[in-house]
Amino acid sequence: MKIKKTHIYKSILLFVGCFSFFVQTQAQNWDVNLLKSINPQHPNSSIMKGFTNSSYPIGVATPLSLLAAGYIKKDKQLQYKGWEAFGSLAIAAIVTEGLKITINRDRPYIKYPNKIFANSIENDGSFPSGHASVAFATATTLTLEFKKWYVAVPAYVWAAGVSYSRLYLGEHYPTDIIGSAVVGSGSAVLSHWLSKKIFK
Amino acid sequence: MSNSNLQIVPASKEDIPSIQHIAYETWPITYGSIQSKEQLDYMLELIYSASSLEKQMDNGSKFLLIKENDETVAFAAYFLKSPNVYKLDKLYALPNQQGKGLGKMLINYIIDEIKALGAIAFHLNVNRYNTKAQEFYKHLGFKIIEQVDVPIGEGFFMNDYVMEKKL
Repeated sequence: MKIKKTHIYKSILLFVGCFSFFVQTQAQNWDVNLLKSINPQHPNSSIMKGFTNSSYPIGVATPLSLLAAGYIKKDKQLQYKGWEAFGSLAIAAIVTEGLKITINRDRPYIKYPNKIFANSIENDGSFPSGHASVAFATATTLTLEFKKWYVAVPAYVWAAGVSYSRLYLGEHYPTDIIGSAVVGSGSAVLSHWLSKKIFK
Repeated sequence: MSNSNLQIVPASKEDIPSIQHIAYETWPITYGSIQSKEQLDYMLELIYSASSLEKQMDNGSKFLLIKENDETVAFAAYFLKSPNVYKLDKLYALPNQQGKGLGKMLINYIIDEIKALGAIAFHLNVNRYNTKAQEFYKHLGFKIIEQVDVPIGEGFFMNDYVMEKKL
């Protein structure tokens, strides 16, 4: 089992590596064309803004509420879950920030100002999406921890909604979102594995 | 219609105060260490007085604004310099909006527009001591092609490089 897991992590790293290379070197027409079909000229939907704005609060509230519940109830299992969720969020945040700085990809509305229309100005790199990374880290952590379909399905529907809203609002390319799905769920898997090592 | 979109819109004469606002915010920061206070004040009056801006618009300079939440945060101006060659004449973003790619956004937008009009090159003048701006333009594919000292009256000169991006 252990060997298999290191293979998983290595392939995630390899995938992210190849992917960022691909993003930097290829002129991805399908990427911007797909985005164009999702992004309207006046992206003002409050539902879409709601999805985007829900990402960080829910991302932070998840570990905090698990930890609070764990320590109030003196429930060790719940405390572990809280720390695992916290780790997932922290890893996702650090990796996302690192990739944003090193890859420094221009936002789609900067590169295609005649084609892609954004809702607001962002001030960091496009790849990957911070909102989507946090959403996927949260959804994957909850799925790994509770292993229940009625947790997993709404969690991933929400993460997909956050991801879609980033495209709708013109802030990210589809490839940024794919990167976030890898970084977010990879962080959750890594934190899950680390927590097992630490707490068991 | 009130919307919170980030948009590039053509400027009209009603936008002159917003253009002046950005120029007066950015010029002392950009040129304060490069030019004398006298020259800076003289040039601001020369280029950014309401009557001068109106005249530039009437004479074919195209002004573009970036608006976010109905606030003007950056602007650019360009005109036809010679057949099929356009010149970027102005490009400024509010100090608190710098580093967010707005300059690049305006340049990409203008390049799209002038390419459609058959442009083969995009020119601009940049102050020879404004290395930060030169780096920025180089990064976008502009190259220095000439060194010029442009007299602007009252014994003042603009010591510029002419930069070019082939389209």
